Amino acid sequence: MSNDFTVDSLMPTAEVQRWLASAKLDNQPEIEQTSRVRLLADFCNARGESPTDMIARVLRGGEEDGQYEIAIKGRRELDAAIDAWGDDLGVTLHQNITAGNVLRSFFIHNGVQMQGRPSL
Amino acid sequence: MEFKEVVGNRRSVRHFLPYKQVEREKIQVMLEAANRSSRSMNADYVKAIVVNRDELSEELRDSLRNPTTTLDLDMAPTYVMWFINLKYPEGTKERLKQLIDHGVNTPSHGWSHAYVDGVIQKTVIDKIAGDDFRLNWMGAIEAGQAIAQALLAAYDEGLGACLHNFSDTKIREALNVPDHWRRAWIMLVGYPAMGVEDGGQRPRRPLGENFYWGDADTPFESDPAVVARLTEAKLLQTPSPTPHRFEEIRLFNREFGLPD
Ligand SMILES: Cc1cc2nc3c(=O)[nH]c(=O)nc-3n(C[C@H](O)[C@H](O)[C@H](O)COP(=O)(O)O)c2cc1C
Repeated sequence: MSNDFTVDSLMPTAEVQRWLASAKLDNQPEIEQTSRVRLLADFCNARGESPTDMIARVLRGGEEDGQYEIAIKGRRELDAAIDAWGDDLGVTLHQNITAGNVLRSFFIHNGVQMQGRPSL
Repeated sequence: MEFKEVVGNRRSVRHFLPYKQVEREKIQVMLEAANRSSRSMNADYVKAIVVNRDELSEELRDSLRNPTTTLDLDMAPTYVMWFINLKYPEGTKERLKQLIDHGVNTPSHGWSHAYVDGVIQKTVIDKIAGDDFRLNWMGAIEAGQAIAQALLAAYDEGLGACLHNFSDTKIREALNVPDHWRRAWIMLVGYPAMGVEDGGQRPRRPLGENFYWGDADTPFESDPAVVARLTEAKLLQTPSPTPHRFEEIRLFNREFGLPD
Protein backbone atom coordinates (compact mmCIF):
# COMPACT_ATOMS: atom_id res chain seq x y z
CA MET A 1 0.00 0.00 0.00
CA SER A 2 1.41 3.36 -1.00
CA ASN A 3 0.10 6.87 -1.43
CA ASP A 4 2.29 7.63 -4.41
CA PHE A 5 -0.49 7.78 -6.93
CA THR A 6 -3.09 10.51 -7.10
CA VAL A 7 -5.49 11.88 -9.67
CA ASP A 8 -3.12 14.78 -10.23
CA SER A 9 -0.08 12.60 -10.75
CA LEU A 10 -1.81 10.13 -13.06
CA MET A 11 -3.96 12.49 -15.10
CA PRO A 12 -1.15 13.88 -17.31
CA THR A 13 0.43 10.48 -18.00
CA ALA A 14 0.38 9.18 -21.55
CA GLU A 15 -1.49 6.03 -20.50
CA VAL A 16 -4.32 7.90 -18.82
CA GLN A 17 -4.60 10.41 -21.66
CA ARG A 18 -4.71 7.56 -24.17
CA TRP A 19 -7.44 5.88 -22.15
CA LEU A 20 -9.63 8.97 -21.83
CA ALA A 21 -9.31 9.76 -25.53
CA SER A 22 -9.80 6.20 -26.76
CA ALA A 23 -12.83 5.61 -24.52
CA LYS A 24 -14.23 8.99 -25.63
CA LEU A 25 -14.23 10.15 -22.02
CA ASP A 26 -12.19 13.24 -22.80
CA ASN A 27 -15.28 15.16 -23.87
CA GLN A 28 -17.26 14.05 -20.82
CA PRO A 29 -17.73 16.23 -17.72
CA GLU A 30 -14.59 16.42 -15.60
CA ILE A 31 -16.12 14.38 -12.79
CA GLU A 32 -16.55 11.43 -15.21
CA GLN A 33 -12.82 11.56 -15.80
CA THR A 34 -11.50 12.25 -12.31
CA SER A 35 -13.76 9.65 -10.65
CA ARG A 36 -12.30 7.00 -12.92
CA VAL A 37 -8.72 8.13 -12.52
CA ARG A 38 -9.26 8.12 -8.73
CA LEU A 39 -10.15 4.41 -8.90
CA LEU A 40 -7.02 3.79 -10.93
CA ALA A 41 -4.93 5.68 -8.36
CA ASP A 42 -6.49 3.57 -5.56
CA PHE A 43 -5.63 0.37 -7.39
CA CYS A 44 -2.06 1.50 -8.06
CA ASN A 45 -1.61 2.43 -4.40
CA ALA A 46 -3.04 -0.92 -3.28
CA ARG A 47 -0.51 -2.69 -5.50
CA GLY A 48 2.32 -0.21 -5.03
CA GLU A 49 2.89 -0.27 -8.76
CA SER A 50 2.54 2.36 -11.47
CA PRO A 51 0.16 1.90 -14.40
CA THR A 52 3.12 2.00 -16.78
CA ASP A 53 4.80 -0.89 -14.97
CA MET A 54 1.62 -2.94 -14.82
CA ILE A 55 1.00 -2.53 -18.52
CA ALA A 56 4.61 -3.33 -19.38
CA ARG A 57 4.48 -6.48 -17.25
CA VAL A 58 1.39 -7.96 -18.88
CA LEU A 59 2.39 -7.00 -22.39
CA ARG A 60 5.75 -8.69 -21.97
CA GLY A 61 5.91 -11.80 -24.08
CA GLY A 62 3.81 -10.20 -26.74
CA GLU A 63 0.87 -11.73 -28.46
CA GLU A 64 2.70 -13.79 -31.04
CA ASP A 65 1.95 -17.47 -31.49
CA GLY A 66 3.25 -19.48 -28.61
CA GLN A 67 3.57 -16.43 -26.40
CA TYR A 68 -0.11 -16.03 -26.13
CA GLU A 69 -0.59 -18.48 -23.26
CA ILE A 70 2.03 -16.60 -21.22
CA ALA A 71 0.38 -13.29 -21.97
CA ILE A 72 -2.99 -14.76 -20.93
CA LYS A 73 -1.52 -15.84 -17.60
CA GLY A 74 -0.24 -12.35 -16.81
CA ARG A 75 -3.57 -10.82 -17.71
CA ARG A 76 -5.47 -13.36 -15.64
CA GLU A 77 -3.37 -12.43 -12.63
CA LEU A 78 -4.11 -8.79 -13.22
CA ASP A 79 -7.78 -9.57 -13.66
CA ALA A 80 -7.81 -11.51 -10.37
CA ALA A 81 -6.01 -8.63 -8.66
CA ILE A 82 -8.72 -6.27 -9.90
CA ASP A 83 -11.39 -8.59 -8.47
CA ALA A 84 -9.56 -8.85 -5.13
CA TRP A 85 -9.19 -5.08 -4.98
CA GLY A 86 -12.93 -4.74 -5.70
CA ASP A 87 -13.78 -7.20 -2.93
CA ASP A 88 -11.87 -5.02 -0.46
CA LEU A 89 -13.80 -1.90 -1.39
CA GLY A 90 -16.66 -3.00 0.85
CA VAL A 91 -19.30 -1.99 -1.68
CA THR A 92 -22.15 -3.91 -3.30
CA LEU A 93 -21.33 -6.55 -5.87
CA HIS A 94 -22.70 -4.32 -8.62
CA GLN A 95 -20.51 -1.38 -7.57
CA ASN A 96 -17.58 -3.73 -7.23
CA ILE A 97 -18.00 -4.99 -10.81
CA THR A 98 -18.46 -1.46 -12.11
CA ALA A 99 -15.31 -0.27 -10.34
CA GLY A 100 -13.34 -3.27 -11.60
CA ASN A 101 -14.52 -2.58 -15.12
CA VAL A 102 -13.22 0.97 -14.92
CA LEU A 103 -9.76 -0.50 -14.34
CA ARG A 104 -10.26 -3.09 -17.08
CA SER A 105 -11.26 -0.26 -19.39
CA PHE A 106 -7.99 1.51 -18.59
CA PHE A 107 -5.95 -1.57 -19.49
CA ILE A 108 -7.99 -2.43 -22.59
CA HIS A 109 -7.59 1.04 -24.07
CA ASN A 110 -3.85 0.72 -23.47
CA GLY A 111 -3.72 -2.44 -25.57
CA VAL A 112 -3.97 -5.06 -22.84
CA GLN A 113 -6.59 -7.53 -23.90
CA MET A 114 -8.71 -8.36 -20.88
CA GLN A 115 -11.41 -10.96 -20.92
CA GLY A 116 -14.30 -9.14 -19.32
CA ARG A 117 -16.29 -11.72 -17.41
CA PRO A 118 -19.93 -11.20 -18.28
CA SER A 119 -22.53 -11.74 -15.60
CA LEU A 120 -24.86 -13.89 -17.65
CA MET B 1 -36.89 -13.35 -46.33
CA GLU B 2 -35.87 -12.18 -49.78
CA PHE B 3 -32.36 -13.11 -50.85
CA LYS B 4 -31.16 -9.53 -51.17
CA GLU B 5 -32.37 -8.67 -47.70
CA VAL B 6 -30.57 -11.69 -46.25
CA VAL B 7 -27.32 -10.54 -47.87
CA GLY B 8 -27.98 -7.04 -46.60
CA ASN B 9 -28.77 -8.17 -43.07
CA ARG B 10 -25.62 -10.22 -42.73
CA ARG B 11 -22.93 -8.56 -40.69
CA SER B 12 -20.54 -9.96 -38.14
CA VAL B 13 -22.35 -9.89 -34.82
CA ARG B 14 -20.33 -9.89 -31.61
CA HIS B 15 -23.05 -8.88 -29.16
CA PHE B 16 -25.42 -11.76 -28.54
CA LEU B 17 -28.17 -12.46 -26.04
CA PRO B 18 -26.10 -15.02 -24.16
CA TYR B 19 -29.10 -16.69 -22.53
CA LYS B 20 -31.18 -17.16 -25.67
CA GLN B 21 -30.45 -20.61 -27.08
CA VAL B 22 -30.40 -21.34 -30.80
CA GLU B 23 -33.00 -23.87 -31.92
CA ARG B 24 -31.49 -27.09 -33.24
CA GLU B 25 -33.66 -26.89 -36.36
CA LYS B 26 -32.11 -23.54 -37.28
CA ILE B 27 -28.68 -25.08 -37.05
CA GLN B 28 -29.89 -27.83 -39.35
CA VAL B 29 -31.03 -25.21 -41.86
CA MET B 30 -27.52 -23.73 -41.80
CA LEU B 31 -25.89 -27.12 -42.31
CA GLU B 32 -28.29 -27.98 -45.14
CA ALA B 33 -27.37 -24.67 -46.79
CA ALA B 34 -23.67 -25.53 -46.43
CA ASN B 35 -24.32 -28.95 -47.89
CA ARG B 36 -25.88 -27.33 -50.97
CA SER B 37 -22.87 -25.12 -51.66
CA SER B 38 -21.28 -25.32 -55.09
CA ARG B 39 -18.11 -27.40 -55.10
CA SER B 40 -15.67 -28.65 -57.68
CA MET B 41 -15.88 -32.33 -58.64
CA ASN B 42 -18.77 -32.72 -56.20
CA ALA B 43 -16.25 -33.53 -53.49
CA ASP B 44 -16.63 -33.06 -49.73
CA TYR B 45 -14.32 -30.28 -48.63
CA VAL B 46 -15.80 -29.22 -45.37
CA LYS B 47 -16.49 -30.75 -41.97
CA ALA B 48 -18.26 -29.08 -39.09
CA ILE B 49 -18.91 -29.85 -35.45
CA VAL B 50 -21.70 -28.04 -33.66
CA VAL B 51 -21.57 -27.60 -29.90
CA ASN B 52 -23.55 -25.53 -27.47
CA ARG B 53 -21.37 -23.25 -25.35
CA ASP B 54 -22.84 -24.54 -22.11
CA GLU B 55 -22.00 -28.14 -22.97
CA LEU B 56 -18.28 -27.36 -22.99
CA SER B 57 -16.29 -27.17 -19.78
CA GLU B 58 -14.95 -23.74 -18.90
CA GLU B 59 -11.46 -25.04 -19.49
CA LEU B 60 -12.29 -26.15 -23.02
CA ARG B 61 -14.05 -22.91 -23.77
CA ASP B 62 -10.99 -21.01 -22.56
CA SER B 63 -8.76 -23.15 -24.75
CA LEU B 64 -10.48 -21.76 -27.86
CA ARG B 65 -9.55 -18.16 -27.09
CA ASN B 66 -6.94 -16.27 -29.06
CA PRO B 67 -6.10 -12.62 -29.70
CA THR B 68 -9.16 -12.02 -31.87
CA THR B 69 -11.62 -14.39 -30.22
CA THR B 70 -12.38 -13.38 -26.68
CA LEU B 71 -15.62 -12.44 -24.98
CA ASP B 72 -17.36 -13.58 -28.14
CA LEU B 73 -17.09 -17.14 -26.85
CA ASP B 74 -18.94 -16.23 -23.67
CA MET B 75 -21.72 -14.36 -25.40
CA ALA B 76 -22.61 -16.76 -28.22
CA PRO B 77 -24.68 -19.78 -27.15
CA THR B 78 -23.74 -22.01 -30.09
CA TYR B 79 -20.46 -22.73 -31.85
CA VAL B 80 -19.99 -24.28 -35.27
CA MET B 81 -16.37 -25.35 -35.74
CA TRP B 82 -15.50 -25.60 -39.40
CA PHE B 83 -12.66 -27.72 -40.74
CA ILE B 84 -11.19 -28.38 -44.17
CA ASN B 85 -11.31 -32.07 -45.02
CA LEU B 86 -7.85 -32.64 -46.49
CA LYS B 87 -8.85 -36.09 -47.69
CA TYR B 88 -11.29 -34.64 -50.18
CA PRO B 89 -9.52 -36.12 -53.23
CA GLU B 90 -10.50 -39.59 -51.98
CA GLY B 91 -13.63 -40.85 -53.71
CA THR B 92 -13.72 -37.85 -56.02
CA LYS B 93 -13.38 -40.02 -59.11
CA GLU B 94 -16.55 -41.89 -58.17
CA ARG B 95 -18.39 -38.66 -57.52
CA LEU B 96 -17.49 -37.37 -60.96
CA LYS B 97 -18.72 -40.60 -62.54
CA GLN B 98 -21.93 -40.20 -60.58
CA LEU B 99 -22.39 -36.76 -62.15
CA ILE B 100 -22.02 -38.39 -65.57
CA ASP B 101 -24.59 -41.05 -64.61
CA HIS B 102 -26.96 -38.33 -63.50
CA GLY B 103 -26.74 -36.43 -66.79
CA VAL B 104 -24.95 -33.49 -65.23
CA ASN B 105 -21.57 -33.84 -66.95
CA THR B 106 -22.44 -35.03 -70.46
CA PRO B 107 -20.62 -36.58 -73.45
CA SER B 108 -21.31 -33.42 -75.49
CA HIS B 109 -18.84 -31.72 -73.16
CA GLY B 110 -16.34 -34.56 -73.34
CA TRP B 111 -17.34 -36.49 -70.24
CA SER B 112 -17.22 -40.30 -69.93
CA HIS B 113 -16.17 -42.77 -67.24
CA ALA B 114 -13.08 -43.56 -69.35
CA TYR B 115 -12.16 -39.86 -69.47
CA VAL B 116 -12.40 -39.61 -65.69
CA ASP B 117 -10.30 -42.77 -65.20
CA GLY B 118 -7.72 -41.96 -67.86
CA VAL B 119 -7.37 -38.20 -67.78
CA ILE B 120 -9.02 -36.46 -64.83
CA GLN B 121 -7.66 -38.80 -62.20
CA LYS B 122 -4.08 -38.27 -63.35
CA THR B 123 -4.08 -34.67 -64.49
CA VAL B 124 -6.36 -33.19 -61.88
CA ILE B 125 -7.11 -35.31 -58.82
CA ASP B 126 -3.65 -36.87 -58.34
CA LYS B 127 -2.00 -33.50 -58.94
CA ILE B 128 -4.07 -31.86 -56.23
CA ALA B 129 -3.56 -34.72 -53.80
CA GLY B 130 0.19 -34.67 -54.37
CA ASP B 131 0.70 -30.95 -53.88
CA ASP B 132 0.18 -29.66 -50.36
CA PHE B 133 -0.24 -26.06 -51.37
CA ARG B 134 -2.81 -26.84 -54.01
CA LEU B 135 -4.62 -29.24 -51.70
CA ASN B 136 -4.93 -26.63 -48.95
CA TRP B 137 -5.60 -23.69 -51.24
CA MET B 138 -8.44 -25.42 -53.01
CA GLY B 139 -9.80 -26.91 -49.80
CA ALA B 140 -9.89 -23.47 -48.21
CA ILE B 141 -11.80 -21.87 -51.06
CA GLU B 142 -14.31 -24.71 -51.24
CA ALA B 143 -14.82 -24.79 -47.49
CA GLY B 144 -15.29 -21.02 -47.58
CA GLN B 145 -18.14 -21.37 -50.03
CA ALA B 146 -19.96 -23.78 -47.74
CA ILE B 147 -19.33 -21.64 -44.68
CA ALA B 148 -20.64 -18.55 -46.48
CA GLN B 149 -23.90 -20.30 -47.29
CA ALA B 150 -24.37 -21.43 -43.71
CA LEU B 151 -23.69 -17.87 -42.64
CA LEU B 152 -26.37 -16.45 -44.91
CA ALA B 153 -28.81 -19.15 -43.82
CA ALA B 154 -28.29 -18.08 -40.21
CA TYR B 155 -29.46 -14.54 -41.05
CA ASP B 156 -32.38 -15.88 -43.02
CA GLU B 157 -33.39 -17.68 -39.81
CA GLY B 158 -33.20 -14.43 -37.83
CA LEU B 159 -29.92 -15.33 -36.16
CA GLY B 160 -26.65 -13.45 -36.01
CA ALA B 161 -23.19 -14.93 -36.40
CA CYS B 162 -19.54 -14.12 -36.71
CA LEU B 163 -16.65 -16.17 -38.02
CA HIS B 164 -13.60 -16.26 -35.80
CA ASN B 165 -10.16 -17.62 -35.65
CA PHE B 166 -9.80 -20.14 -32.82
CA SER B 167 -7.18 -22.17 -31.08
CA ASP B 168 -7.79 -25.89 -31.56
CA THR B 169 -4.94 -27.40 -29.56
CA LYS B 170 -7.12 -28.83 -26.79
CA ILE B 171 -10.49 -29.09 -28.46
CA ARG B 172 -9.20 -31.49 -31.15
CA GLU B 173 -8.55 -34.22 -28.65
CA ALA B 174 -11.66 -33.52 -26.62
CA LEU B 175 -13.91 -33.77 -29.67
CA ASN B 176 -11.99 -36.57 -31.43
CA VAL B 177 -11.14 -34.42 -34.43
CA PRO B 178 -9.19 -36.49 -36.99
CA ASP B 179 -5.75 -35.25 -38.06
CA HIS B 180 -6.78 -34.62 -41.65
CA TRP B 181 -9.41 -32.08 -40.59
CA ARG B 182 -7.60 -28.78 -40.82
CA ARG B 183 -8.92 -26.00 -38.63
CA ALA B 184 -10.78 -23.33 -40.60
CA TRP B 185 -12.99 -21.03 -38.55
CA ILE B 186 -15.32 -21.10 -35.61
CA MET B 187 -18.75 -19.63 -36.30
CA LEU B 188 -20.33 -18.13 -33.22
CA VAL B 189 -24.09 -18.13 -33.51
CA GLY B 190 -26.89 -16.61 -31.47
CA TYR B 191 -29.52 -13.92 -31.36
CA PRO B 192 -28.15 -10.40 -31.86
CA ALA B 193 -28.61 -8.41 -28.65
CA MET B 194 -28.97 -5.16 -30.55
CA GLY B 195 -31.37 -6.40 -33.19
CA VAL B 196 -30.86 -7.15 -36.84
CA GLU B 197 -29.41 -3.71 -37.47
CA ASP B 198 -26.60 -4.23 -34.94
CA GLY B 199 -25.11 -0.81 -35.51
CA GLY B 200 -25.54 -0.74 -39.28
CA GLN B 201 -23.81 -2.20 -42.30
CA ARG B 202 -20.04 -2.29 -41.92
CA PRO B 203 -17.97 0.05 -44.09
CA ARG B 204 -16.77 -1.13 -47.47
CA ARG B 205 -14.68 0.43 -50.22
CA PRO B 206 -16.53 1.62 -53.35
CA LEU B 207 -17.15 -1.07 -56.00
CA GLY B 208 -14.60 0.40 -58.42
CA GLU B 209 -11.73 -0.08 -55.99
CA ASN B 210 -11.83 -3.84 -56.30
CA PHE B 211 -13.97 -4.70 -59.32
CA TYR B 212 -13.31 -4.00 -63.00
CA TRP B 213 -14.93 -4.28 -66.38
CA GLY B 214 -13.01 -5.42 -69.44
CA ASP B 215 -9.54 -5.11 -68.01
CA ALA B 216 -7.81 -4.53 -64.71
CA ASP B 217 -7.38 -0.82 -65.46
CA THR B 218 -11.07 -0.08 -65.85
CA PRO B 219 -12.91 0.14 -62.54
CA PHE B 220 -16.48 -1.10 -62.57
CA GLU B 221 -18.78 1.90 -62.56
CA SER B 222 -21.60 1.74 -60.07
CA ASP B 223 -24.98 2.74 -61.53
CA PRO B 224 -26.96 4.92 -59.07
CA ALA B 225 -30.23 3.39 -60.32
CA VAL B 226 -29.01 -0.07 -59.25
CA VAL B 227 -27.91 1.32 -55.92
CA ALA B 228 -31.40 2.75 -55.44
CA ARG B 229 -32.98 -0.61 -56.31
CA LEU B 230 -30.67 -2.46 -53.90
CA THR B 231 -31.41 0.06 -51.18
CA GLU B 232 -35.12 -0.53 -51.73
CA ALA B 233 -34.53 -4.31 -51.57
CA LYS B 234 -32.45 -3.85 -48.36
CA LEU B 235 -29.24 -5.31 -49.74
CA LEU B 236 -27.77 -1.90 -49.06
CA GLN B 237 -28.71 -0.62 -45.63
CA THR B 238 -27.94 2.14 -43.15
CA PRO B 239 -24.18 2.29 -42.78
CA SER B 240 -22.44 1.96 -39.43
CA PRO B 241 -22.37 3.55 -36.96
CA THR B 242 -26.10 4.07 -36.50
CA PRO B 243 -26.87 7.21 -34.44
CA HIS B 244 -27.28 5.49 -31.06
CA ARG B 245 -24.68 2.76 -31.48
CA PHE B 246 -22.37 3.79 -28.67
CA GLU B 247 -25.25 4.31 -26.28
CA GLU B 248 -26.49 0.80 -27.12
CA ILE B 249 -23.06 -0.64 -26.44
CA ARG B 250 -22.90 1.15 -23.12
CA LEU B 251 -26.27 -0.30 -22.12
CA PHE B 252 -25.18 -3.75 -23.22
CA ASN B 253 -22.02 -3.44 -21.14
CA ARG B 254 -24.04 -2.35 -18.10
CA GLU B 255 -26.45 -5.22 -18.52
CA PHE B 256 -23.73 -7.84 -18.61
CA GLY B 257 -21.18 -6.17 -16.33
CA LEU B 258 -18.60 -5.49 -19.04
CA PRO B 259 -15.97 -2.77 -19.35
CA ASP B 260 -16.47 0.12 -21.78
C1 LIG C 1 -13.12 -15.75 -42.30
C2 LIG C 1 -13.38 -14.70 -41.28
C3 LIG C 1 -12.66 -14.67 -40.10
C4 LIG C 1 -12.90 -13.72 -39.14
N1 LIG C 1 -12.24 -13.75 -37.95
C5 LIG C 1 -12.56 -12.88 -36.98
C6 LIG C 1 -11.95 -12.97 -35.70
O1 LIG C 1 -11.12 -13.83 -35.44
N2 LIG C 1 -12.33 -12.09 -34.76
C7 LIG C 1 -13.26 -11.12 -34.99
O2 LIG C 1 -13.57 -10.35 -34.09
N3 LIG C 1 -13.86 -11.02 -36.22
C8 LIG C 1 -13.53 -11.87 -37.19
N4 LIG C 1 -14.16 -11.79 -38.42
C9 LIG C 1 -15.16 -10.73 -38.68
C10 LIG C 1 -14.61 -9.60 -39.50
O3 LIG C 1 -13.71 -8.86 -38.76
C11 LIG C 1 -15.81 -8.79 -40.03
O4 LIG C 1 -16.15 -9.43 -41.18
C12 LIG C 1 -15.58 -7.30 -40.30
O5 LIG C 1 -15.40 -6.71 -39.07
C13 LIG C 1 -16.75 -6.56 -40.95
O6 LIG C 1 -17.43 -7.28 -41.88
P1 LIG C 1 -18.88 -7.87 -41.69
O7 LIG C 1 -19.47 -7.37 -40.40
O8 LIG C 1 -19.64 -7.40 -42.88
O9 LIG C 1 -18.72 -9.36 -41.67
C14 LIG C 1 -13.90 -12.73 -39.39
C15 LIG C 1 -14.61 -12.75 -40.60
C16 LIG C 1 -14.36 -13.73 -41.52
C17 LIG C 1 -15.16 -13.73 -42.79
